Amino acid sequence: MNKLPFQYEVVAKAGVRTELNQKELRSLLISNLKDLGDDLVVRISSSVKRISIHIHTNRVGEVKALISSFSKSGTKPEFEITDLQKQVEEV
Amino acid sequence: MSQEMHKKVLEKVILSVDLIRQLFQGMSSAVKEWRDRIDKMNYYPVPDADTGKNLAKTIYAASEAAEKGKFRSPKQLIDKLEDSLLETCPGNMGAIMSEWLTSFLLSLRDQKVISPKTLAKAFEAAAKSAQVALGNPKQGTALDPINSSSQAASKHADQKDLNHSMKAILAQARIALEDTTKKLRELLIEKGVVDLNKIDQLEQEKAVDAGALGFVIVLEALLEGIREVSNEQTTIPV
Repeated sequence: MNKLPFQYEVVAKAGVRTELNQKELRSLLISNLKDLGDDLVVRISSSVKRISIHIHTNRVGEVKALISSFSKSGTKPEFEITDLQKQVEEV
Repeated sequence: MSQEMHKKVLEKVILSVDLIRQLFQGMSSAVKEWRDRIDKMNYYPVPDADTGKNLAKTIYAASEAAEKGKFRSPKQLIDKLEDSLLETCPGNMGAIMSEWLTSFLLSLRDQKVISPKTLAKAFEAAAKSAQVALGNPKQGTALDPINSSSQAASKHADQKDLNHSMKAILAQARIALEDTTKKLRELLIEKGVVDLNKIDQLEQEKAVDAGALGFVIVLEALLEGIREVSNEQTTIPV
C-alpha cells in the first residue's frame, strides 16, 4: 500500500450564525475548503444554524482555522482528527 | 417479495412515527449484518476498511434517537432525525448517507403518505443534496446508485402501484452498483494508494465500491420496510 495523498481526516461540527441561505453557505464553504484536501462533504442543517464538515487533508491547522472562522461567536467547533495513514497500516 | 404482494396494487403507505421508526430499525439491522462485508470492499477513497462501521454507527444512532424520544407527529420525529444525522455521521460514507437520508426525510416531512409521486420527489431531493454536498463528486461511487435510483423513481412517479415503483428503483440501484466494478480501477489509479496487482485482483473478483454497496443495502432495507408496513395498511385487491 502506498502513502496516502492526504494523511488526516477532519470531521467538524459547528454552530453558525449567517445571513446566507443553505445553498450560498455551502457554496462558500466548498470553495474555501476544496483546495485544502479531498473527499470533502459539506452538510448544513435546514435551519442553517449548524454545519458538519468531512475532509481528508494534510493541512489540519488551516482547515480548523477556516471552520472556526465560520462558527458562531462564543461557540467552539468540535473537531475529530484521525490519522488515516496509521489506520490504513493497521488494517 | 411474497407472492401475496404481487397480487395487490399498493397505491400508498401512510407516513407515521411507527413507520419511520421501523424503517430505521430495518436499515440499522441490515447494515449491521452487512458491516464486515462492506468493510472488506473498502478500497476507495481510503483503504481503511471502515465504510461498513461508519454506516452502521450513523444509522444506529439515528434509529436509537427515533426509539428513545416521544413524537406526536412524523414531522417531530424527522426533525429529531435531522439532528442525529448531522451529529453522528462518521467517515466519508457516513456523511453522504446522512445527507441523503436527511434530504429524503425532509422531502416527506409535510406529506401524509408515501406514494410513487412523493417517493420520487424524495429520491430526487436526496440525490440532489448528496451531489451538491460533495466538493468533488465522482462516478463509480455511491453517487451512481443514488442517481440511478432517483432516475428510476422519477420515471415511475406516475405509476399506480408503489410496489412496482419500488421494485424498479431497487433494480436500477443494483445495476448501478454492479457497474461500479468497471470504474473502480480508474478511481484507485487516480488515488494512487492501492498497488496495481491488487487493483487487478479486485477487478477479477468483480469488487464493487464499498459506499455504493452500503447505499444499496440501506435502500433495500428502506424499501423492504415500506413493503412490510404496507401489509398492515389498506391495499386494494386486483
